[in-house]
Amino acid sequence: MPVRRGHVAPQNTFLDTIIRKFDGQCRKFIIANARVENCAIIFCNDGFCGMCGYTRAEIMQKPCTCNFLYGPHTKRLAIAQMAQALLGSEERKVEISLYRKDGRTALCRLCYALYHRTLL
Amino acid sequence: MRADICVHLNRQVFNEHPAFRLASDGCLRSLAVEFQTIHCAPGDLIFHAGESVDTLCFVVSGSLEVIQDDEVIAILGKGDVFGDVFWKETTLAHACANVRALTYCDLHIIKREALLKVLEFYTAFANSFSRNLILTCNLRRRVSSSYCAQHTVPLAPPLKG
Repeated sequence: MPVRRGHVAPQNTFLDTIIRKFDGQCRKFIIANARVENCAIIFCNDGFCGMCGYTRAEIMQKPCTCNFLYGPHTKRLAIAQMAQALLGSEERKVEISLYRKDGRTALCRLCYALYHRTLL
Repeated sequence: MRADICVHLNRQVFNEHPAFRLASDGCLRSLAVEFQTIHCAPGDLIFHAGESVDTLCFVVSGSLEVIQDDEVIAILGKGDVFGDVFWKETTLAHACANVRALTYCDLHIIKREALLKVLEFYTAFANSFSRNLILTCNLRRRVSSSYCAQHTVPLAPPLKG
């Protein structure tokens, strides 16, 4: 398995910066790529995994609406607000009931924020 | 003696991954001897798209990005596993994406042939390993990438008249 030096393409170290910043604040967060189908989750931190009870391998590549966390008490209005924020690329805070893997429910305040990468 | 040292060197992988919990000492020693530790600098390519995926990699520290068609599809960090599920497949896969180190990384890797040889000998372990090891990123499978505009989630619940 030859290890090659990366070429001079700009690195996505801004993602690493975001991760280190929010991890340092003990936030539970995921990062999703809006340019991939379903806005797939590309990273979730340990706090998020612990909160929802799923492993990182189970969460990766899921759509960022996190519909695998929805359940009977999850309000459709909250789901619709999230979907609208995604489609409209707007920043939004939504309160929503999410379900852990073991079925327990938790009321969460989701904050949806956008990051653009600018090429230097 | 050498095998015991190797088990100690790979203790982070063996202790943290549930897939190795049911491994006997002999099995761990056989596996440990086959593991290699590689250290990557930022920007190093671990897998190039199109290459054969012939190693299973465990991330011990650092972070890496998986880039398919110029889009980041995953960020891997400590505790993640990537490569291919050799034990379930008969042929070698082509890597669907580049895997590049974002920071200085330590990876513990094991070659496909070596892993299959150990799994063939320790069949009981092979069953639990196959059940419990879930890859964070499987480089065999492409992630379909198209812009997010094709959502079909309704914007608002329909009004009932």
